[in-house]
Amino acid sequence: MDLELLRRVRASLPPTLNAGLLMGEGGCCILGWMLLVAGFHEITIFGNTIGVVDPARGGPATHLVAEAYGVPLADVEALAQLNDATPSATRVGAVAGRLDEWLVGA
Amino acid sequence: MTVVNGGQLVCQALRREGVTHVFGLGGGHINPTWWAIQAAPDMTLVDVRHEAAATYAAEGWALATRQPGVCLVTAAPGITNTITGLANALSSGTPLVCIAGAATLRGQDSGEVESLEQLEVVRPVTKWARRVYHLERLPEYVAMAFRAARAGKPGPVYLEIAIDLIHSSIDDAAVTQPSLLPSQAGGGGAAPALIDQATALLQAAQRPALVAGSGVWWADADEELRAFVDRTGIPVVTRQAGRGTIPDDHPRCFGQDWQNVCYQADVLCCVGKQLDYFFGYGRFPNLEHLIQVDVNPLEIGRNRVPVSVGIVGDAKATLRQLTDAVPPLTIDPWVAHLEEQAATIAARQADMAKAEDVPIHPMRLCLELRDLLERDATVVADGAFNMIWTRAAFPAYQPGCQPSMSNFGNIGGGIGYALAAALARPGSQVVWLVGDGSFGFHTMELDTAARFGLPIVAVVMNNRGWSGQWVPLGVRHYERLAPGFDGGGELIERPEQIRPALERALGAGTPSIVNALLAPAAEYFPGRYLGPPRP
Repeated sequence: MDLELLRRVRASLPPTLNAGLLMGEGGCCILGWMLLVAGFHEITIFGNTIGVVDPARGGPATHLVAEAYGVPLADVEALAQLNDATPSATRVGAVAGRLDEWLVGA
Repeated sequence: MTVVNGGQLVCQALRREGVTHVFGLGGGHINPTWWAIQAAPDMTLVDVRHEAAATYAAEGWALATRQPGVCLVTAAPGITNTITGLANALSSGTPLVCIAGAATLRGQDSGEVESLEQLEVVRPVTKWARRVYHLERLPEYVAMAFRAARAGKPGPVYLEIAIDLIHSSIDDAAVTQPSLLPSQAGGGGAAPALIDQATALLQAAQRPALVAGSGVWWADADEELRAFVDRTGIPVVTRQAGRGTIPDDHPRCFGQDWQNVCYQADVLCCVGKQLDYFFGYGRFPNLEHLIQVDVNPLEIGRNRVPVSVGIVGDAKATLRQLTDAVPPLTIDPWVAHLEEQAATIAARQADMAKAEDVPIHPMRLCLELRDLLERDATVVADGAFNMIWTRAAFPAYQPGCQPSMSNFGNIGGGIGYALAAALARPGSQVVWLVGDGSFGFHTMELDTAARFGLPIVAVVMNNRGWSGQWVPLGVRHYERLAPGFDGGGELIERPEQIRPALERALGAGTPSIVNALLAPAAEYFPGRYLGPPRP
């Protein structure tokens, strides 16, 4: 697990997160946010709402987050599901809590 | 003896190609052609306010009618103004014939007005570019231009005629008319062995899907596509000009959900769809086999994508072959799975349709509009971030009804598409859904709409700035421009205002502007939380 990258994500979470779409509502779901923090350009998550569009590093968002952060794919999928299932008002807090669990457990 | 000038020859040649509408902006270097077309009772000369809009409208005409669009522009600045539109047509593979004036040969390097090495300027943004040197060959060159625009992968072509030549005259008996290419010349299909291979892969697949791209539209293969899907039951998604070649409410069409389908499919059959950015470069995680059908051999396996069966062929002919060869597929669990996912997405959209957010949620705006549109309505999506919503919100029921900006990434030209659609389908609804940034590019074409009596509804998805760059534009009252174009304008700020305003605009019979205030881009652009604005 890339703890430094994960700490950056946790420390920089935006005030709102979308559900489901990476940049749909003008913002990101947690996967989009993690991809941006990991260095993917906005353009790579603009044209495709469930994946990263890049000829060299493209693929499903969940796979690339797992790879970039060294986190098991199942955990990333669970994080994405938590993001989408949590009402918008409490979404950032719920996601932050899950990230804290990862950091404590690492 | 009948004496004709160059402009009259151009007009005659266009008529022979079946051209009924020409989009252009006048200038001294093209006057004879302008006047000839203007005087032609069977042609409409649509004079726009900027040459770029003429190219967009010509492209829009092709997207709406499947026939090459024609634009007529003057020399030098007229040409440089077309470059973005031509490049856009090249990127999307849209057939377009640009006819231009040019300075005299004699005046080259003399400081003559509107002198430019135009061929050098247009070559990178066209698939064919020529200059006419002899009047008697002018019809031949016009015919060549149309053939080049249609041949193989379609695209924009360019033909220039110098001012001294276009003004000169000739006995029309001295002009030999070229033979015409049939409008649907058709192309070849696949070798039987390739059809056999594709059939075997599709039969063995657990999660097969078909992607119908622009090539299906240009090959006039709508019926063949439908026959193939009906026979095999294969799930299908449509992209770009392929949108609507099979309606989104066909039981096997998951047109708006292409990512979900492609990311899960084990065998994809891509017909006339280039493997580009807006198609994830054709790289999908669960894909075991790609069957690719394209009229252009360079598209097969583009971006180093492994292709199991590559067919260089015409979509119409190849789909016929596949329909004859592929039996009904046994894929009920896969189809049920996709239906369930589509239902989930529809339920999520239904929730968004009820969003009471102030500022207005973009999906609420789109879905309210969707409910007011007829099946043959044209929805022109134009912008960047707003297209995330428009792509998801509007189903395509007919081909040629959802033109949108291409991979080239330009914005603002959608009003050209809207003009063309309104002319091609008189009486049908035409909506230009445009971001507030994009709205600024060619707003004056609403004047063109007014002059030609085209009741285009501009819906400005106004998030008050350039979304991708976190640059605010502030609240601007774009709706106040409408009276200047003989139309009505309304500002809407709350969800309950959406429907009444749209109903008034759609029923107005004049160009209208609905300015919908959405959440400001600068408040939510994610990049702002990653650091200071980029320079």
